[in-house]
Parts: sequence; structure tokens; C-alpha cells
Amino acid sequence: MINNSTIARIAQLITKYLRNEISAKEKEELEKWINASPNNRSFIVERMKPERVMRELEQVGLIDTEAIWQKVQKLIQPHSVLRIRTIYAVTVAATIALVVVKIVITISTPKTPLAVHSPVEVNCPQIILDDGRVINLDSMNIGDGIVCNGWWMTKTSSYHIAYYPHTDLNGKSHKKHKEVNQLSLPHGMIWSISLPDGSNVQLNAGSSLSYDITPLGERSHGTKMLLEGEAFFDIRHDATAPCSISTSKGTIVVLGTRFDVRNYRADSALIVSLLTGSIVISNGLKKVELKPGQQANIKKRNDSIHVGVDADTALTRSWTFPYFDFTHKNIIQVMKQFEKWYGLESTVYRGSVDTLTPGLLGGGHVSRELSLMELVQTLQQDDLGFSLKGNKFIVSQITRAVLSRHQLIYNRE
Amino acid sequence: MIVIEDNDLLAFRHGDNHAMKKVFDTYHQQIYIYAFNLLRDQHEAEDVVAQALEALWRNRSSINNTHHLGSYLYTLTKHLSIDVLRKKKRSTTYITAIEGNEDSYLAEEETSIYDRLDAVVKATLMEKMLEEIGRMAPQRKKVMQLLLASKSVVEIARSMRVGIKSVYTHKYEAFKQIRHILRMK
Repeated sequence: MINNSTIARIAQLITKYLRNEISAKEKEELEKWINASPNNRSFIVERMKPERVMRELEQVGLIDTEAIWQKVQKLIQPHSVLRIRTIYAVTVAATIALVVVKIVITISTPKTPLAVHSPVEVNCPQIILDDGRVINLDSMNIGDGIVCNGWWMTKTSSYHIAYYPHTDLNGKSHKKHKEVNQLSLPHGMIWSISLPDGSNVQLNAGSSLSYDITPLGERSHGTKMLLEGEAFFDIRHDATAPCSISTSKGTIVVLGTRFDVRNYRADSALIVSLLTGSIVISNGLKKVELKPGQQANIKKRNDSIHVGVDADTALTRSWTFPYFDFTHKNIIQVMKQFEKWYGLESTVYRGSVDTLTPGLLGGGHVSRELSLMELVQTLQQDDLGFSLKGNKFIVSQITRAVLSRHQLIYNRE
Repeated sequence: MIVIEDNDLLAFRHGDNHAMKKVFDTYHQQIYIYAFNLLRDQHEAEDVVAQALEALWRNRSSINNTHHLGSYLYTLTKHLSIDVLRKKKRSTTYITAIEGNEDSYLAEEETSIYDRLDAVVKATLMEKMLEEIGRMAPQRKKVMQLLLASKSVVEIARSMRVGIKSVYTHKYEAFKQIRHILRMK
């Protein structure tokens, strides 16, 4: 049975082998794995075929080391490429920008970290550190990080942050036993977090997640997280250190597995969907264990836990994909997805709704990266017109007579 | 094989340019191969590598140890590459998972475990091969480099002013050397 840690270990062993750094014991371990199953053996044989390696090498081609070094230099010292006059203007502007950014980050007065149960309406992706500092993730450059109590939190891409243990230049770590961070997202974006124990969480738009980094880093005696909204969890397995996720309606305890938790304030129930492994759900009174493919429901007023089958696990996860998924959905469900993502108020339908068919809107998949205008353009159909008015979508049925008038209106916009 | 020592890392954290060059020499090939496998475009891969290295330099004082350095570079390279892909495919269909791990866009069940292992091992393999080629005797190295640049044996013979049989011999010996490294008992 292969899992993530096996893959990492085998890859490491193969790497050591190739670099002639492998010990006798490690070699034994690798050979044991190879001989453990015919699939393992054929993987190695295929992977190490010289012809295949050569073909792949050819595809990579020669690496232009000099060109890459030049590009690195250009990014590190851009000013050396400009003329003297321009240098002055750029330096001044850069200094001002630096000062402004610095002010933006520190001007939020320290407040006590919010308990995630209180509503967090934000207009930019942000992290609240344990000491109360609010970090605007949009104002960080990719690759930059913040040091907080023995941890280094870094923005590794436009939508991803990772945590690494941190020591100062003297090699000292300033870890505190508790370092709670809270990530909050506005509408229209999904972020993912790589936690120091190897776990990964994807947080949906309009959600907030609180987590304590130090226990997660050590995974010594369990760790706790608080969620409001929706998140997909991929928790690294550790039988000795359970991880618990609390929401306003119930708590989920896991040893290591992949599952989706949905509890927005506007939802009528907490929904937990399990993909692999097993989790225990409790509403404070009762405990229920879920099996893969099952979904648990805890309603707002009524505290009972309903367990059913998650009919479509791909659908449950579809929010984590970079596109909207329209398969099996009617027009109202489709428009609701857009409303939520773009932060619009509602949709107005002209023409009777059940005669409006989503058709093959954008081929069934439309990228989440589209701007609102691009989306409206992409959606236009022969029989369905899309437009915007104020903070609302307008979806209208187009009959032949209306078609030319609609086109006229659309072209004018 | 260039190795970063502890004092190299300390110098790097303090902003020493020679240490930066050493870090560059150690890692740029690996992460280029990694980026290239994702992006399939030389210039885009080069840009991603340069951005990753610049970000590393900018945050040099926060780097803990060499393992941290490597994994930070790899993570940056991966996410920067995915960012490029997302921007490219903005108005069309979704990105298929290039490598399956926690950031996979396909459900785990759909990506073969072996595909993931393959992606991880590939980068090291490529790096090792290129390193090996770099260490070959000049004539043999030249033949290999031209072969990798998709030149035919005839073209190679012509540009190196040697007989075709010579080129074949060099090719045979080079492959033998490579096969020797790849043999798994």
C-alpha cells in the first residue's frame, strides 16, 4: 500500500542511490520495496531505461546556465540596467512604495486573535498572527515571509502559504509552545496552506481557519483547528497525535486522512464528506464514525447527526479545482456558484427558469480566474443572454425576435 | 556534485555573493528541469527559475538549513510554474494534475501513485545525467550535447569534423556510461 510518505521515502532512496550516497541498510530497504510487488519492480525497470532517460533528456535539452544566471542578476539588481535619470525616479518610487507597504502592514493595532466563531468579513486575504498582527497576503511578494516565534510563514505563490521552522542567524529558535494563526479569505479566492507536519488545507472563499502551528509542527500530542466556512483537509497520518477541527455545529477528529468540511454561516447544516481513511464526528453529545464515501450532516436547530452516502465525491471536491463545474447542475445552481465567487447579490431571470438550460456553458468548465466581464462574455449563448446590472446578474431567455435587440444592447455595454 | 556546507549557508544568509553563486550552481539545474517538465517551454522555465532564486535571495536571512533551502526552492518553483499555467489557460479548460500530491487538481484516485513517484524521481535523474555528461571526456561530451540538441549523427560528424564511425563510437561509449549509472541490481 503506497501513500505519500512512502513516495517521499522511495524517491529519497533512489536519489541517494543515484548520487552514490546510499548506505547498505538503505539499499536493502530499497531492494525490499522493489521486490515487494511486480508493479514496483516494473516501475523501476521502466523508469531507469536508458532510452527513456535519453529521450527525456533530449526534451529538456541543454540548460542555458548563463542565460538563467543573467535573469537572476537582472531580478536581484534591476537598477544596473537603467540609465542614471531613470534610476533616480525608480529609486524614489521604490523607497516610497517600501515605506507605504511597511505602514500598511504595521498600522493595524494589535488586537487579541479572533475566535473564529465570530464573523470575519474581510476584503483581502489575511493572516492574523498570535501577537495580533494582521498580515495582508496580497501585499506580500511571492517568496517573502514573516517570522513569528520560531516559525517562518512564507507566501510561495499567489494562493499558497507554507510554514518552515525558523532559527535566527545564531541558530537559535524562538519557538513558543503556542502560536495560533488565523487565515481569512474574502470572496473569489481559494488559498492553500502547507503545515509543518506535512498536512495541507485548502480554504474556500469567504472562510476562516484558525490553527496552532507549534503543536502541528511537532504533532506530539494532538492539535486543534477552528473552521468557519469550507475547507478541504489532507491531514498527514499520525496514530499518536489526533487532529481535531471544530466548527460552530460540531467537531471532527482525525488521525490522518482527506475530507471536506462545510459550515458557512448561511448554510442550514454542517456537512462533512470523507474521501479516505476514517474520522469521528461529534456534536457535543453524540459521536459518529464515518467511512470513506460517507457524508455527515448536523443541522442547525436539530442537533442530530445524519449519515448518508456522498453520491458524488468529485462534486464535493469540485470547489477545489480552478474551474467551475456545471455537470449535473441546473441554471440556478450554476448562477449561485457565480454569485458566491464574484460576490454578487443575486440573479434576475427573464423568461421562465425551467425553460432555461445551462447548455454547454463554456464546455461545462469555466475557469475561476476569469474576471467578471470575461465571464459574462464567455457565457453568452444563442438562446441564453447574460449581463450585469449593478450588483446582479441578468439571465434572459432569447427568442428570435429578442435576439437582435439583445445583441444591440450587449454591444452598447 | 557541488555541496553546500554549513559555512556556505551561513555566508549565504549574511548576503555573500560567492555563496549565492554556489547555491545557484547547486540548484539551478534541478529546479530548471522541474519547471521545464511542468511548463514545456524553455523561456518560461528559465523565468520561473530566476524568480525562485531571486525570492530565495531576498529571504536569505530566513533560511534555516540546506534541507530547508532545497525544499523552499522546489516549493517555490512548483507554485510559480502552476501560476504560469493557470494564467495561460485562463479562459479554457482546467489544468490536469501534473504531479499528484496535496495540491493535485484531480482527485487522488485518478492519479496513479507511480506517476507521482515518477515526477519526483525524474528531476534527480535528469540532473544526475547532465552532471555525468558534464564530466565526460571532451569529445564524448560534445557528441552527447549535440545529440541532446537533436542533431543527427551526420550533422555531428560534420560540425566536429570527425568520421561518422567516430561519432557512433562516442555515442556508444557515452550510453554505456549512462547505462552503468542506471543499472539497478
